[in-house]
Amino acid sequence: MTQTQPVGTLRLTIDDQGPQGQSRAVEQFHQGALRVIRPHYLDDSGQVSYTIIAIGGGYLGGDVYEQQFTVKDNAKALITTQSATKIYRTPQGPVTQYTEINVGENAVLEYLADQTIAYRESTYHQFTKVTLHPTSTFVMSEQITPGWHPDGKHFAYDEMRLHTEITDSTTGRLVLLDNLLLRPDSREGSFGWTEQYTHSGQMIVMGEGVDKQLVAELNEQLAAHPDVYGAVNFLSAPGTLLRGFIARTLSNRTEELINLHEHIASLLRGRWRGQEPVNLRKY
Amino acid sequence: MDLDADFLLLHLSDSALPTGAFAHSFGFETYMDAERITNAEEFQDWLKVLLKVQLTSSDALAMRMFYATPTASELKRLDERLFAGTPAREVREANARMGTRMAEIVAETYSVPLIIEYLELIKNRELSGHPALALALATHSMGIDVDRAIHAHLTATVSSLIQNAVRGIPLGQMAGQRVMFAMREHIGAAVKRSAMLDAIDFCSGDPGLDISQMVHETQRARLFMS
Repeated sequence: MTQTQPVGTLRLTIDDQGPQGQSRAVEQFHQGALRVIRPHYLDDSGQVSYTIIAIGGGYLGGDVYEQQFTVKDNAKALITTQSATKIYRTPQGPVTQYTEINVGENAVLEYLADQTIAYRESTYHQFTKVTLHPTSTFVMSEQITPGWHPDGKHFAYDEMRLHTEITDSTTGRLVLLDNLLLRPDSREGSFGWTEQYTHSGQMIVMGEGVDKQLVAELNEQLAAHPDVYGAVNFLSAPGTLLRGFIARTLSNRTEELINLHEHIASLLRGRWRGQEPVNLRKY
Repeated sequence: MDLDADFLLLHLSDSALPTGAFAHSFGFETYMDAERITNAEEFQDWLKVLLKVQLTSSDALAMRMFYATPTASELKRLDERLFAGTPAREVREANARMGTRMAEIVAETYSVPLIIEYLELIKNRELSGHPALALALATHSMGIDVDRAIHAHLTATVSSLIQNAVRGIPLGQMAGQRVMFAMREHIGAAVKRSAMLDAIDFCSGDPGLDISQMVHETQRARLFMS
């Protein structure tokens, strides 16, 4: 049951010492079912873009995946996935993914994942530990899609846990512990959970440019959105200069959530770095 | 000695304790605004979910973890994690306010180890304060069993939310009492369930409940601060 050797390992370290100050990987290691496609430069900002590929098409019970992304001082990276992460039945035990992220001084990481699809009788545990310099910019988004079931029944998975910790690398202070736990069979009453929706999304953004005005602006946009219900809240904590926001969203379609997350990521890039909108060119 | 323990529990879980609990709905006002909570039955449904999903994995588990390691460093770690583990800003701030008041009250009345240190760390803005931790400091030093301490804290929290619902929705006083009595079994179950949780369950939540608490700050007319 317990697997010592991960099914897939991926480590990437990115600095800003490429030609013309472009960001590039200085260390790259992959093993087993995780790979990356060769880097792309999607615009002239010097930001390097990597796409993760999970070979084998889906995660199975007992699988352990390990990822480590380090973005050194002043470097800029975009990391995305090639396609949805699919979690199949996991009778052998949960699928677990561990991700460690470190973003240095004035560095940027946009980690925009495709949706995670949880199929019938699957259990998925995702642990993401992020350490950030207060001057860094970190953008992470993900979407959870209930997988198809022969009865047409939604929420046939057993359990999804997305556990994310964000810590200040200079003070060691925790600013966010986000512990989303979805267990369809233990749902009680008619409140909370995913309300009347099927898909849930979340976005975490940390950066010096986040203020209460930005949060209010994003909340206005969300309130006016016809197909997404959600909210954005400001994040800060004693003992750290880190500031940011968390957005939780619900919808009936994956695309609505992905488009919204890309829209927000693009808005912030334009405003904070004068950069072109996110264009992942996957579709 | 036993009477002293009873007194402490009755005193610190009294809904008249001036912690400011009367000002917080923990998100039920969002559902009131959406007309999803209009009567005692709907309110009770919501309260059960809040208790099971949030209060058990945050407040109750934090108290249990402090009892397991009753040290200053664990107190700091738990305070930090409770604050970081609450995505809704208004709820974070509500707990910080009520936690500070609770710590002040405990420091003023019971001479309890760690409480002065806790209060100083809160005043120096190194920690935020949380009512469950301030209460746990007091109950632990009095030798009160962890289950009874958690039970008292959850009962007090449920009771003040019911009083807020009686004023806010509004509900009849007797309807409020019926909800209170109906919650007895659910509070007991929450105490037991908190003993089965692991450290990894700390502050687990679900998206809908979080959104109801996060969206409250944008609501136009509000009776409550959260």
